[in-house]
Amino acid sequence: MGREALFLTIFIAIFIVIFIVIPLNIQRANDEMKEIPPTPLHILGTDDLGRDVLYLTEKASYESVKTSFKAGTLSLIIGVFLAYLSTHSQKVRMISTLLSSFVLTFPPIFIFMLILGISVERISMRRQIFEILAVIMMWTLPYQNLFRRFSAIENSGYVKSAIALGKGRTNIFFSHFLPNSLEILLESFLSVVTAIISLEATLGFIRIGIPNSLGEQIRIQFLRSIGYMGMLEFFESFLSPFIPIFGGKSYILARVVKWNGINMWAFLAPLGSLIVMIIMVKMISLYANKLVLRVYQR
Amino acid sequence: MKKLLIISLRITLPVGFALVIVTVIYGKGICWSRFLRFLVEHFIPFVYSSSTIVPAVVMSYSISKRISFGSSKIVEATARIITSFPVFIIAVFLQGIFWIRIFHTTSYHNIVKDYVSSFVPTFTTLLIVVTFHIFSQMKPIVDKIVSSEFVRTMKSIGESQKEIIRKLFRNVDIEFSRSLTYLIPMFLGESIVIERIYNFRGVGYELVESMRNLNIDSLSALSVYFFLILMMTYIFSWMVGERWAERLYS
Repeated sequence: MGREALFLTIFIAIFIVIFIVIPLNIQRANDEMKEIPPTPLHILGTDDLGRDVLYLTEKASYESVKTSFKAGTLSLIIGVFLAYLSTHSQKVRMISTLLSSFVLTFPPIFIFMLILGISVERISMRRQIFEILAVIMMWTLPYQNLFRRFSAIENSGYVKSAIALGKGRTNIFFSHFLPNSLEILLESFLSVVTAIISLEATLGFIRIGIPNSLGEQIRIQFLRSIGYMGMLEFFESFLSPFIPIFGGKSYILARVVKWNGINMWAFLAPLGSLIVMIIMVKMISLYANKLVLRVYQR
Repeated sequence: MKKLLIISLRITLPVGFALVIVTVIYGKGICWSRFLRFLVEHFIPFVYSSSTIVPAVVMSYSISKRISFGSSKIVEATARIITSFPVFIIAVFLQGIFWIRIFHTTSYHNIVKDYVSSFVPTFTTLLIVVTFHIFSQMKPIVDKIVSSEFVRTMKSIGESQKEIIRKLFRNVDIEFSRSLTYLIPMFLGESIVIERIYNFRGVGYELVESMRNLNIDSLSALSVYFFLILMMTYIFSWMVGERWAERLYS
């Protein structure tokens, strides 16, 4: 198995675990089980309200992945559509270029903060607002990547022959444009997904993101656990959950479980989930070319 | 002239867009006297906030140029890691190193100490992030120019290494001035997060606070600040790009 296939398999496995397996074992909040250590029932222990850390992390990851994939797919569709139209329409090209330069001028986080910040009272609508904004801000990336490739394909002999033979534009798009730009499509899509996951987590960290998202979880647990620490305490807290894994003594275990009365997995699990998600998506985008080549070989 | 028109459109449209969002959706008008007072009062935080960005860009630029020749794999890997993850994750990890309390309330008894203790980690985090962002931007450009025919011809003629590097940097400078147009907005966005995390009272911190308090005047004033920075960046990039392009490979 090649590296690219391995990464893809791991990513799909994580995806299946997040979406299918874990939601079946929902652990509800329990007042009697606050800050307990990892047990077979609660694999990563519980937080200060007695909620299962694994379930909270899974739920937050699900929210992030759902939002980013939905917004990423929509922005990809818009980018592809506009890039294709721009190849043979001067007006569409001019408008799309102006719009993309307009979108790229301001930092995305500023626009997101401005709009999500003033809709602070409508928390239920934040998800929809975030998704719409993500689509508006992110379609430029696939558009810019695809426009060059589409222009080259438009000027190629194959497309000119197809037009001369009287084939329809839709037919040409699906038979020439789409198959010849699959790797750019995949790469653009994954770049957009990573950007949206990062943006969502950042906004969640400064309290104006989607409710129950990864960023919000990280922020809450961060403030609760390591927000008020010094250097030595900080590194000690980071190391503490890993000490029993490598055969720690009982007093260390007791300390790990309740480091200053806190289960550190509550902070590390959402942070780790975010890092793993970004790494996996980046790895697949690195091997996008090889993945597509394998499709051709079949 | 056409380029100037596009630049002015690129600048004025987003600012107008931001102001329209703030004023129309929120449903209150701007109190101009308070707006102007805010502009004057927050000029010092604005300068401080910008001062964390400008030296960071300049320093990281010089460092990245030097690193490009060394081509260290560790540096490349670090750059890839830092540019991949959201900036707040890096700030969280660096928080432990700076030994500073995050989200602490300001003590009025020792305001200077508090200010310094928040300025230092803000500046350092921004410097680290910006350095690796620029490095990841500059590395392919330098690699491309080093392997270009121009450099190879210079080598074959027998030009000194010093002369080659001098001309090579000139070509890198043009690309760098062009990339400023998207690097500066990105750093502004990152400064918002970093200032909030380290409790540094610059414009980014004020933006989050004014958004939380729904302060229409401060939001509008901050839009104008951002507009000024972007305008200067675009004009600088355009002027430098135009002028330096003439001496390309001279």
